[in-house]
Amino acid sequence: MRKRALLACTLAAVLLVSTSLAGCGGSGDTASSGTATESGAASGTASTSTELADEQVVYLTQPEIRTLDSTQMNDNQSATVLVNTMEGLFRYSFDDQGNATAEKAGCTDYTVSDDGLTYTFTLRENTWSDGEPVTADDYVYAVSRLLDPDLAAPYAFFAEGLVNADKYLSGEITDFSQVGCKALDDMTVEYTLAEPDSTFLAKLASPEFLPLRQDIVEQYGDNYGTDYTQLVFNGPFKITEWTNTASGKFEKNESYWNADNVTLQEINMTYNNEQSTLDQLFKEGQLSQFGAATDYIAVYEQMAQSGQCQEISYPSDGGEFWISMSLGGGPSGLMSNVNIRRAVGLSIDGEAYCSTIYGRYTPADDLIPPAISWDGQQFTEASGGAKWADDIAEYRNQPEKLQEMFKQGLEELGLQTDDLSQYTLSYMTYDTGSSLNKQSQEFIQQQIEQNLGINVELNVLSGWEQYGAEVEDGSKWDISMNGWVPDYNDPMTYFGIWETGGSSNYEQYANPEYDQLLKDAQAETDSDKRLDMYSQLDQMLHDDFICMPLYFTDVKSFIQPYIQGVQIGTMGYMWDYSKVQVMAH
Amino acid sequence: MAKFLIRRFIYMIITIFLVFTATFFMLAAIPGNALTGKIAKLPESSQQRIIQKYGYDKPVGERYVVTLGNALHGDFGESIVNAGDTVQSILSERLPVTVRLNTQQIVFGVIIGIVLGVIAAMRRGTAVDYGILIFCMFMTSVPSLVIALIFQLTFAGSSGLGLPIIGWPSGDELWFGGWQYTILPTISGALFYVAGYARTTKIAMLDSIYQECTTTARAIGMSESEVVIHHVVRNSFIPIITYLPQTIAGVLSGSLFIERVFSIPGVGNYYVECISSRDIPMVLGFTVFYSCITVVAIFASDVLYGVVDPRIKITGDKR
Repeated sequence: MRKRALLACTLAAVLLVSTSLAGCGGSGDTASSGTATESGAASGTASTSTELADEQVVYLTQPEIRTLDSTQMNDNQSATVLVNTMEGLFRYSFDDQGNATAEKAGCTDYTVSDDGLTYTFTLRENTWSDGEPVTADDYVYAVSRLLDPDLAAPYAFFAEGLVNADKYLSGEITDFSQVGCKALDDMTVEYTLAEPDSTFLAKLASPEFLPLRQDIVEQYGDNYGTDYTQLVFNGPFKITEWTNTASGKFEKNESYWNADNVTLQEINMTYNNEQSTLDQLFKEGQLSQFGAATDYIAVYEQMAQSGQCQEISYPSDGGEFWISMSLGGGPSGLMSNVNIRRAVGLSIDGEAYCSTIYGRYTPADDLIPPAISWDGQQFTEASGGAKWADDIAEYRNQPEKLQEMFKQGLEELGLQTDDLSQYTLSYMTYDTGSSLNKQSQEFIQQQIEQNLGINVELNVLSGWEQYGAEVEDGSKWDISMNGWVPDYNDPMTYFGIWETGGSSNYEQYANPEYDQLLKDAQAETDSDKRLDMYSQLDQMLHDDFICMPLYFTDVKSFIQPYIQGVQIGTMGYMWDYSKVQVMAH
Repeated sequence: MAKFLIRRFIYMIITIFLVFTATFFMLAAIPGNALTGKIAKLPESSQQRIIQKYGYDKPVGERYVVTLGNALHGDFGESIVNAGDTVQSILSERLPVTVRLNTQQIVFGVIIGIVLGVIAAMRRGTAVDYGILIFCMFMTSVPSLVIALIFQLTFAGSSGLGLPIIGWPSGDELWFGGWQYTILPTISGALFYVAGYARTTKIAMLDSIYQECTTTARAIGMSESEVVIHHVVRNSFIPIITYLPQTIAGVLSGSLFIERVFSIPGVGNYYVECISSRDIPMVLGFTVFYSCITVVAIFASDVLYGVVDPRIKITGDKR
């Protein structure tokens, strides 16, 4: 996934989370209602055999591990390995549209206090692969490591809401027992927040909070997480062989609490990203799952229809790309006007973009992707519809109307409206080395030029690293394309971007009213009120037209017909094979 | 000779130092590095903490001094992208694989190349010569990625010759054995060498065929095979042998595309990933390592030049 052309660079950090957690508003019951999905969501006819194959072995492409230290991790490939080998408080299952349900895993029950500040978890009896029991101390130690000022964990801010966490992180206090994370006894762990945070449960479900063994970590010190032989596992599988970007093997972890329900014995992985090679391996039966891209998608969709493989596809994996507007005005000085921003944004046809450039993905009509959900439905549905949809219906591919709007903006700025070809916008972007990338840039350029009659100048930087440094200066570009992969399954992961001064707020949106509402929503424990606030936030972003949502990234994967129960993750990891069964074939 | 060696050794050290310095400052001058990507979407406070942890909050001069000091002890630092990876750990893990792959390619490629070159020179102007010429031109212009993919599709798997589609011998078979895995990667990489050496050999052969000593040898009644072996082939080895060390230096930089297609855990792929993600410590370390190899190889070719052709004197004096 990360290797896919344009996505490659933006998928910098990803964490996993659950839908029901996000929407449950502090009630312990909602998250427990998850029902185990019996088999993978799959279209196409699967193998008719109901008998298990003698060999419960699968073959996959190897994820790249950046680190196996769950407190330092911030990418979806390392997360995939952790999800399959470790057990946190929750584990997710996905329906055929990719909607996630959290299931209690490492805990058997939990309560949230009425003031929304204290979360108490009763742990399930589970054992590490070296025979030691998993205890509340392991969960507490993980938080102390996440907040360790010397380690500078990327996602330390997930735990920053705990009592005194900020002081511990800044070194002001050094006694961790003053921080709001405690083991009440061996099997009970308690997290206490300084202020209510409606997204905290969603954050708790991410790998950052996976339990950690203090004795093991201390034994390896700084090198913890860099070598699999040092680790102990408490999840469905354990790593028994691993050479990064080469090959690896997971074997069933017999000490896992739910081992009786893990059928698969072995996962063999080889590193390879060549589509043609993977296609050949899949057809020879030497690869169990293939994330087909480009031209191979159509071929495999055909194969899925004739039953030669199963297709798993979700409209959204939680990621999104949009066209940002430089609110300070940009080099052209035009972008400070909202009508100009609307005209520019709406002149780009997201639907044509998806079908022409990628032949996949879901055209966007809101800033919150379908994978972000609210009480079992998509957030945009729950909040009264996609905010950009009406605009798109009225203005898409209507050059006269768009030019009229653009001219209105010019008049408001006191500029001439007779010759639009005098105006030039600068589109800052970067080279990913893919030909699709170039087509994408030219498509955006042409759409704006054709619909508005103005000029668009491409400013192509050498790579994401350079782009990431330059895009922060809004005076260097009028428009740019940016994306986001959610950190947790709550609309807040998106809305938080546009807080004044936010580090990814490239548009440089600064609206005190927005900031206040953002803060209030975070503290609001009433689910309905919070939904209403989120809806208002979404509306503000639309009314100020800080960007034009372009497309939602999707999930598409093809599985051998005889393999059942594959869980493809959204938003945080690639796959979970703990429920997989290989049928006779 | 000793004087020459010492002088060349000092030049080598200076060259490597300059490569290090230039690479360091160029990497520092480019806006953005692997850290930018790592911290891209984090809150400001987290970003600051991580930048401090890696020492990138310090001025570039200070970083240079620290990095140089560590590098003199062979420590280029830890990868920003992959925690725990160092230049040494990657080389010790991956270099053997790359060395074996490329050694096989070179041995196969150079031998076949020289044989084809000799044949082309001896049969110059005939259909055989043109056939070899066209083959060489084709192989030089088609990227090895394409050749590797075509070979894989055609010869690997049950629809081909049953050779493995991907993989590479490891463990006890790291250096010897597991040949079936190495056949396709070796041949698809070797064709490039075949083409290069066939052309070099042919040109060198034609040069010496027309030399006076060859004519003289014939005139004094040496048999044709004696003429070819003693005069033509021997003389034409000079350019080939001086070319060889640099080919061998290339061994270590790996066959990037071939490693990718056949899932071979070598160095080439890793180096390129480091560059594309601007993983500064790793790029710097690998670049210095490769320049050492290249500098040594150039030195070796100079020495070999003298060995093959005694008329070329190696001294410390100014020529």
